Amino acid sequence: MKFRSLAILAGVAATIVVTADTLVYQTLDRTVRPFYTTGLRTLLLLLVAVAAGLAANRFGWLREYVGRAWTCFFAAYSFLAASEVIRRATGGTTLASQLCVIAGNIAIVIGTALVARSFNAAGLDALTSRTRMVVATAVSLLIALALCYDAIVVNFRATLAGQEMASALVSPLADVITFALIAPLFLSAFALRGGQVFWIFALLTTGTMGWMLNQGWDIMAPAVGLDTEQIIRAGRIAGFAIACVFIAAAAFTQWLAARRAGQAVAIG
Amino acid sequence: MANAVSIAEFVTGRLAIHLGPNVARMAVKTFAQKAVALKPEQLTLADVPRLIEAMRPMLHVMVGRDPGEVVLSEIAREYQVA
Repeated sequence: MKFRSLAILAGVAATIVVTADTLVYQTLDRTVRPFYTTGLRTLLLLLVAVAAGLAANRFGWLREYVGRAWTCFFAAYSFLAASEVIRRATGGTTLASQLCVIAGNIAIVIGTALVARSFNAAGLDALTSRTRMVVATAVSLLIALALCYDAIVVNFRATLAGQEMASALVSPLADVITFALIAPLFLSAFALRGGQVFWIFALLTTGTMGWMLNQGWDIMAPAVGLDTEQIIRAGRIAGFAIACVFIAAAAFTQWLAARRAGQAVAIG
Repeated sequence: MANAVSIAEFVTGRLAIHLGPNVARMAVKTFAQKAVALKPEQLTLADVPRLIEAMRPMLHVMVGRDPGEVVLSEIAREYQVA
């Protein structure tokens, strides 16, 4: 299978998930909907965890640089899946679910940072001009702050009022860092166009944009007059599905590329 | 000189499969400079082993150890380097 086909398949899969979710959700009883949403989110998170685990295993988990990034993604999405299950099972936010969210978010930041600084780690830092990188990162940081500002302020006030644990702040702050890293991810993907590694960076960049949609839809939708409960939920789920499907596709692409290389070694 | 140009072109072509033509060209330029302090077009057969060694960590980071070693072994085989 070609990597381009994998990317198209990821797009089709995300579209099917979003369309099917929109149709199914409306038919469900109100009491069932929270369980359905938890189930869907958990499945999507586990999809990434499995794909990232495959890739990490192929690269010896923490032994290789590439493996370290995928190990972080594997841990991150496993923790986030666990937090979904714990929250539904206990009927609310508990210390255990909060700890899983914190661990998951920190692991996503580390994993994304490892991929984003691949060029530096490889000694290829002269590929993009420093000015271009600084400007692009500054722009993405501003967008990240705009998307996460409300969540940061709300959680900060809730923490001060004693209604939330301070850990509630970790998730939006981690999102700011991850979203700001989309600039180096995008510039790396752009530089790598024409090569196999391009697809891994491009799929990861698209996945991160999915998380931006998931996080920022609450602000974006009302701004353009789309503020019904259904539309806001559909937009957030769309972002969630795009993020999970495309990051899983990136992991699978990485695994497939390494597997083919391994077969070439065996044949050679 | 024709041979030297073909070394740079061959190595760039091998790297481009994974890294794309732009990064591949820049990688050959960077590591030819780092390994033997030469421009890509000045590379000779004698420089190939040092170029391979210089590129090894870069390939391990960018594509992983196994895919990286496949690329390096193809280059080594082409120029009959052990």
